[in-house]
Amino acid sequence: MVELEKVIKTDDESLFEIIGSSEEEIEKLQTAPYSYWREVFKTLFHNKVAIVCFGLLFIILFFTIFGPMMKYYSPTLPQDELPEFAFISSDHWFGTNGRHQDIWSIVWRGSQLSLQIAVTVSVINAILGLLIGSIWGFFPKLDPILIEIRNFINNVPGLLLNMMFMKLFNAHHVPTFLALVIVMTIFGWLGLASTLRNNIIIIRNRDFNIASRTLGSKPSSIITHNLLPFLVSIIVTVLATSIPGAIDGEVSLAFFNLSFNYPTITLGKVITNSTASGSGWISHPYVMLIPSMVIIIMTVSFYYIGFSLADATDPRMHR
Amino acid sequence: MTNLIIVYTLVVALIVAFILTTYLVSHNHIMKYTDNWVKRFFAHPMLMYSIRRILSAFISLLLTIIVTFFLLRIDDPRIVYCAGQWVKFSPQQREFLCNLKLHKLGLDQNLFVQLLRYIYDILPFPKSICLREVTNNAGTGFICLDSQATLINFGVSTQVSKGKQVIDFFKETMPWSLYIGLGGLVVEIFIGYPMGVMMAKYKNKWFDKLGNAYIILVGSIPGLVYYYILQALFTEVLRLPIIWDRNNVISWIPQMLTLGLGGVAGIALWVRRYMVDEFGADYVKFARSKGVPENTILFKHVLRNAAVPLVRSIPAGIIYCLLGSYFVESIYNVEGFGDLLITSINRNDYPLTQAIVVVSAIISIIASLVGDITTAIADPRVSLTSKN
Repeated sequence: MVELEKVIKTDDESLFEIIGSSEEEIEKLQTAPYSYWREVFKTLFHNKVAIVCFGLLFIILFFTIFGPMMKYYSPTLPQDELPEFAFISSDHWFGTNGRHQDIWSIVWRGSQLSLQIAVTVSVINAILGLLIGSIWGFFPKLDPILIEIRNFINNVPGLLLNMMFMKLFNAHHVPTFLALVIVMTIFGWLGLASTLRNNIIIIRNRDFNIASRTLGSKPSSIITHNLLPFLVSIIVTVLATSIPGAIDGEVSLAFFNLSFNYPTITLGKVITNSTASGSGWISHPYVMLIPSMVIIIMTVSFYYIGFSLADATDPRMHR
Repeated sequence: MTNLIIVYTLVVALIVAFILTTYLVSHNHIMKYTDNWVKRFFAHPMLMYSIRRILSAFISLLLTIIVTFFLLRIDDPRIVYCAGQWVKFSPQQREFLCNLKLHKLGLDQNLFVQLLRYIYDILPFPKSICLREVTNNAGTGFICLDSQATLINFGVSTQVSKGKQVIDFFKETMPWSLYIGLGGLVVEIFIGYPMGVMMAKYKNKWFDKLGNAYIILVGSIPGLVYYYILQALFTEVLRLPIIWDRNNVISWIPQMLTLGLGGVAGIALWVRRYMVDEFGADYVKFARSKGVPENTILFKHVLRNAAVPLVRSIPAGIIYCLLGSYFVESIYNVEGFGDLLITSINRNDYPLTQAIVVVSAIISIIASLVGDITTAIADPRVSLTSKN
């Protein structure tokens, strides 16, 4: 023992060997190369159901863009041009409904507009939610204000707010597209923002963040470099549900007559019209079932892809 | 007039007192500058927590009332209530009638005066309200013919059913929403719990996959589409009545099932998640190594611990039932609370809408309070009281 201590203390140079440095050695990695996003897509494409969902979504998007070009009967055609309740045939690929409209045309026209609204709404919600949520989580002084807003939203029936805002916009002749987007985004960012805030509060004082802060990183770089990459799977989960959520929102607004008016068609309008009393959907169920199936396939595939993406991006599943 | 001024000062003083107390409590000023016994009294964690929660709930409620009050009055009341009426009369007479109507509705004053008056009306202390008001002979003032003593005055409906007390609307609609909601809750619990347990037990087997597919389906389909498909199923396959009828109990079943089957997905998801989490815990590994049978572990150890977070949501769920569901109630023509809201907004009935907002805000505040308190009681791991 004593000898060993002596050897250590004397700093004996014979214990070390200088191997020199070489340019090639520096470039070599000791571990196999690893790319986060490549692994994410690898896991994603191993999931067979997700591949099926991608396929279905592709088909829906294809027909949304090119469907009306293949066969199109305007919904405003005079009544006697088209038959009533014609079943699926070579003339009317999805049949016609009780209002003498070709279902193929109105479904794809509707899905064009609905998808535009949904994508706009979820992009705006994502940007606002990320911005406000990360600021909210990182600066606790803002907590009371935003919690009060959240309480307000939880307390007031959402329908009331939507109806009031839509009425206001209609009175001032705001374009319906803009009005719908504003109504769905005015408090739509709250979900993402409050989830983000809760998770940031949990990880805010972890060691790696304290280290960054003591080294003098700016709050903005801590948020973008430390916090958001850590929470990527939570963010993806919320974003994944936001497109189906926005489609759902438009359908609900259309049910209360708050969406577009007659000649313009959205999926919400299609569903509401085909299930209105006197539309004969109980005796001719396909009038309602075909548009419903299109919406269901669309939302379910978005939702499932989102969730498998969330699983694949979860940092705990990576090394 | 002096009477009114006193009332307004009272209301303003109450609001200021609320805000001040909340500020004092939340910043621990009471603890700093008071004597020992006060300190000891306020040091009890459960009490302090409840006071804080209730005060902040009052602030939220106040905010809700103020914001919705101004939102509802964005439109000019002269356009909403007087446009296109009394066509036979001359413009002066029309003007007079319009002023009379607005006065009766209390809409002729300054907005802030209206707001204070409204808060005074809904604060629960004994006051008298005027049931019938007429102009005096000169046409300058108003005389009250018939008055009544109440605690809370939500006002009278102006459009939906003229002159009817708003409280009476609530008495008529809330029970129906509650019955249907409770039925839905029963369906939800009695299908959701066993489903979640079975999914956790046969994790990654076919039953689990089927359950997950159901959860994803319910979560992603737009609500309206889901309700209509269920309605088609109930009326075409099960031959249940398509329209709600208050005298026919069988016609309530579709609404209960619609609400319940939607909730099943949520409950099953959480039961499964909690149980899978608990299966990884040390005490389960220990029980397994002791040789306890798998079913005993499942029902005696895991289920008990996993059920706590879910059981606590039941009381809050029962309270939320009072609010009803807009879609289900308007699809099946149920005369419930959700339907009342839609009718009142569409018909511009300010007092009714305002009262609905206040009541639903109070209900959701109470529900979340009850949820927190049941958590503290039911979960042995959460305790707010300090042990000496």
